[in-house]
Amino acid sequence: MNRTPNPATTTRKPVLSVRGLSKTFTLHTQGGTSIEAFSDLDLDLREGECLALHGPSGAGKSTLLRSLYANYKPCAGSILVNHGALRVNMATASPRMVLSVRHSTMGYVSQFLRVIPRVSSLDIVAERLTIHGEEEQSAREKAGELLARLRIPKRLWNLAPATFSGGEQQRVNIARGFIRRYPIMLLDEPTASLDAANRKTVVALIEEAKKTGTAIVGIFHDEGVRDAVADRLYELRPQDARVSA
Amino acid sequence: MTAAQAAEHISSATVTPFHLNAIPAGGPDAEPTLLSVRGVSHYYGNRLGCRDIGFELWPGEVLGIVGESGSGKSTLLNLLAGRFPPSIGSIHYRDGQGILHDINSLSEAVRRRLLRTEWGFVHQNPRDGLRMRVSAGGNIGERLMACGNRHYGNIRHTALDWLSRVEIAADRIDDRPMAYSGGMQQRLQIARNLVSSPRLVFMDEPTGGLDVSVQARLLDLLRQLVRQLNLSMVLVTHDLAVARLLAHRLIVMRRGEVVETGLSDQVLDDPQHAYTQLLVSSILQG
Repeated sequence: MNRTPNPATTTRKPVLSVRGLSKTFTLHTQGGTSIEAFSDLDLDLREGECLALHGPSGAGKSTLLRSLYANYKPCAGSILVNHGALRVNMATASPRMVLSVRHSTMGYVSQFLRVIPRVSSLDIVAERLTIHGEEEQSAREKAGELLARLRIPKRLWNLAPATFSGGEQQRVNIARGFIRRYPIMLLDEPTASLDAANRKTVVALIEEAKKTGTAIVGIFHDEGVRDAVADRLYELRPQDARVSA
Repeated sequence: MTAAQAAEHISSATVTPFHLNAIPAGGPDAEPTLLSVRGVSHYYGNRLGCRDIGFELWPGEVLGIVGESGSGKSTLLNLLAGRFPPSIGSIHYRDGQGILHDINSLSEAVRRRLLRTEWGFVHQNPRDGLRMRVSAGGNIGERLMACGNRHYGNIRHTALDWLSRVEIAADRIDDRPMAYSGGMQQRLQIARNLVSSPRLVFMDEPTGGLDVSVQARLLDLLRQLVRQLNLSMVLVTHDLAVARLLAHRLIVMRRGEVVETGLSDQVLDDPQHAYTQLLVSSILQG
């Protein structure tokens, strides 16, 4: 890979620091089987940099991303995040603290859109602004601009995305993630089911977010996208003999 | 939309965090709580209702209590609402003036005032929460009058406003709830409870007897109202999809005890306790 070094990777302060992070799933309903996803990971993420999680399927990339977001509960280690003037450990923070971090500091674009019954695409995106106090009118205008940029036809804006194609749902999901600036963003295969033109738009959105200082951790299976946006790769290897009874 | 599709949409939906305009200096947990529950147990004679329950509830927060039938969910809800006292333990509520009340030792007058003005209780069966022989407008107006409103024109205007918020046509205002469908009755019960701008609403399986498309509509409505009104809610449900959509935090109960608590999506996506894992893995995939 050929890329110019991003000054962010060395000089700026870390906004997210992971130390000794381990995750093992214990399946009580299946005889107490343990599955180790990863163990003793260290990671630093700086302002404006994009880190790509890299490794074969089953190496624990998604599990790591979900752990950073506190959707999964790590078994050991810490995930320190700058949250306003606070430094929060996402591995041990209270539910309310986690929600506060997700509200203003950490954004997440999942692989699949989580549909809310009856809520229109435009409102799904605009909601991310109105919960921060933005006027409904201007929030909807900005949401429309971003949906248009992601080539969602205007006739779909007022429909709930339940019946949309996979690619359309993913683009609504991306619009929702990028409508507002978060200091940290987690991206789980944001371009998985997009065509070339839309992939380009997403790459541009990621670049714009980085320029405003957003730090990104992502999983990008598309090599072209990964080369375009990632400053560093973070290798995850499948653990040997990870299943133990 | 088929039932399975609707269930899937609901189960995969996510909750938008409640209002936090600024990051509080001491973190969100340093704010004053609305409800504070310590070491609460209840026995029906020798039979256990619930044992050693403790949690805090903050303004604007939705707490889901999940578990199968007979796990003590409804017992706990009734204890919280002061409908009967616990055998052991304390429940404190901070009212709109910031005064802390011990729920177990409320005078009947204060309990009634809180129930009228600061609390709501939405029953699983709307017949338990509505006056079936009084018009829809009357059901809403009664609650307003109980809060001291006397102006007929204002009361009717507010009733009409609330009917439209819960998507009941204005020309149904003079009908009795008997003439409503189950879904409309449930929406009317919610309007009757929310019209007086309560601070805390208890909900017992609010979507229990409704078909799936009506459920989705009601869930979306509740979600909006919680946000617009900065409502706190204790929601009892055995439906994990409903819990995921509405609740910020979950308490998982089994046989009268709390087996797991935490952030809703974490409890549902990475359950730690054997019983929660069983509950989550028992959901049919739509």
